[in-house]
Parts: sequence; structure tokens; C-alpha cells
Amino acid sequence: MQLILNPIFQFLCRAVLGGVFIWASVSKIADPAAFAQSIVNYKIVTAPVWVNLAAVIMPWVELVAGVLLILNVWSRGAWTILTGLVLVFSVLIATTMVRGIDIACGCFGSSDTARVGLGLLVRDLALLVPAALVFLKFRTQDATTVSAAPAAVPEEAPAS
Amino acid sequence: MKYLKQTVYILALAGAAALAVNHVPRTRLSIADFDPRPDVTAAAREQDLPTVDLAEAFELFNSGGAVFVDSRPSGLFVQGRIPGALNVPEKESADGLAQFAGMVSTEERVIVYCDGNECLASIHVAEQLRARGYRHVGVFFGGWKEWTDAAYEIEWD
Repeated sequence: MQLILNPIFQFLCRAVLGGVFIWASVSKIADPAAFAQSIVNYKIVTAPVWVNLAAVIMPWVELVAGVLLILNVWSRGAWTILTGLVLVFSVLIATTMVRGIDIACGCFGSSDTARVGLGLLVRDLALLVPAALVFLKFRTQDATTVSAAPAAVPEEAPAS
Repeated sequence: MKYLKQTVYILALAGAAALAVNHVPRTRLSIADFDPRPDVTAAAREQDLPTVDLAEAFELFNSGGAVFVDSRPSGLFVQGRIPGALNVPEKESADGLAQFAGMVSTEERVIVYCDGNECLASIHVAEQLRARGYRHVGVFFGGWKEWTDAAYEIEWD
């Protein structure tokens, strides 16, 4: 537990989770049209307007949340978004496998030729490990703030 | 609640940044006008591949005038296909092609199809068949989707 809460270890966890998403966002921001085509390949959203909106906005969400998580600014929000994306992607990968569609992941832009399959699912779910470790830190922090509060109550009680 | 509030802030910030940067002409993506769906007909024209529509495909099927090639993954092929079609999955096309070459003469007319009009697998497999010496290769773009929408006969394992 001491190790998990160690600031350097926590930084590393945030750097892994945030870093992967920053890395993933860069080539998608550079070429949104190629990313739009990757989205269409999944055959879940195919209406051009929605696909294009997602292609323009999603990489920026990844980038901003990734940077904020590493900087430890609004880290709970950044953690929620990135963990949510990991879960959404795993559902996408799993349903794509079940539907038997054979496509490139597109996760790290169109030059990423990894195919959607079990290996990719494992790679994606592995990100839940640093995510869980970061969450433990949040829990501990929140617990200490909460447990500090009741201690103040008895002091006020005699006054009334 | 911190989680939700910060999530909303970040989403708003990222959305604003994304839409602002999307005005930079170099990588600008026209959200309303850009059509990200692959233009398969253009791809076929580029490869100079003849195409057949649903009516022609159906006629060739009835007359037995062509061998149908299903370029979808084998998992989908066994679940349902145009009757008599042979499977040459795009992904393992080397094995599929070798097997196919052993069964079908290069003089025969071959029609390749995949999911429907938004997949490129049929074009890729058609090119490879042509490289193997098949001279009468065509692509049925409507593919599995148009065939099943028309409720034409299918078979499965």
C-alpha cells in the first residue's frame, strides 16, 4: 500500500495511462479524415456528420485528459474520461470480434495496422491496471478528508 | 461529485479546443460535407475492375455463368453465403487463393463480393485473382447486404 501511494509510483501510473492516450491522439489530430474512416470501419456510427464530429473532438478529449492526468490537474475528471474510454474501446473491440468484422484498430491513427482481435483487447484492458492504482490513491485521499471531518464535530458539540 | 464536475469541464475544454483548431485550414475536416465512407466504386475504377449489379449477379447465379468468391472472413462465410460461393478471405488470401486455383480454371468468369458497398475486401481479392491469371474477374459491390436484402437464396454450414 505504501508503494501504491508513493508519489513517484503514482506519477508513473498517471504517466502510463495519460501517455498512451496522448500518443494515440497526436496522429489522429494531424489527420482527422483518416480517423473518420477508421470510425466508419467499425460500422456502428456511419452517418457522416456524427462520424466527423467524433473524429474531430475525440482525439482532443484524449489529449486534454491525458495531459491533465499527468499534471495532476482535475485528475479525477481526467481519470473518469480515460478509464471510460478504455471501457468503451473494450466493448467496441469485443462487439467487433463477435460480429466477425476484420478491420484495423485505428487506435493510434491510420498508420497503426494492428487488427481488432483478442491481442488488442488484452492490450486495452491492461490499461485498467494503472487506472485502478490511480483510483486507489483518490480513494485514500478522499477517505482521509472525510475521516478528518467528524473529528471536528465533537469540538463544536459542547458549545451548543 | 468532483469526478462528474471535472469530467464536464474537461469535455467542454477539449470540445472547444477541437472545434477551434479545426478552423486551421491544413487539417480542417468539413464536418457537414466530408464523407468518410470509402468510395469503393472509385477504387474499382482505379483498378479497372468490371462491376456487376444485383440483377446481373442474380442472372449469373441462375445461369451458372460465374464462380462466386466470398472475400469475407471464414467465420461469416460459414454462417451464410451465396450458394456455391468459394471462400477466399482477404486476410488469409494466400491459402485461399492456392486452394481456389486448384479448383477453378483461369478461363472461368469469377465474381467477388464482400459485406456490401462499403467494404474493400472484394477489390483486394479481385486484384489478387487477376494477378494469378484469372482474366474475367468482376466485383459485385452490393455484396452480401444487397443479396440478403433481396431475400435471394443462401446457404450455410
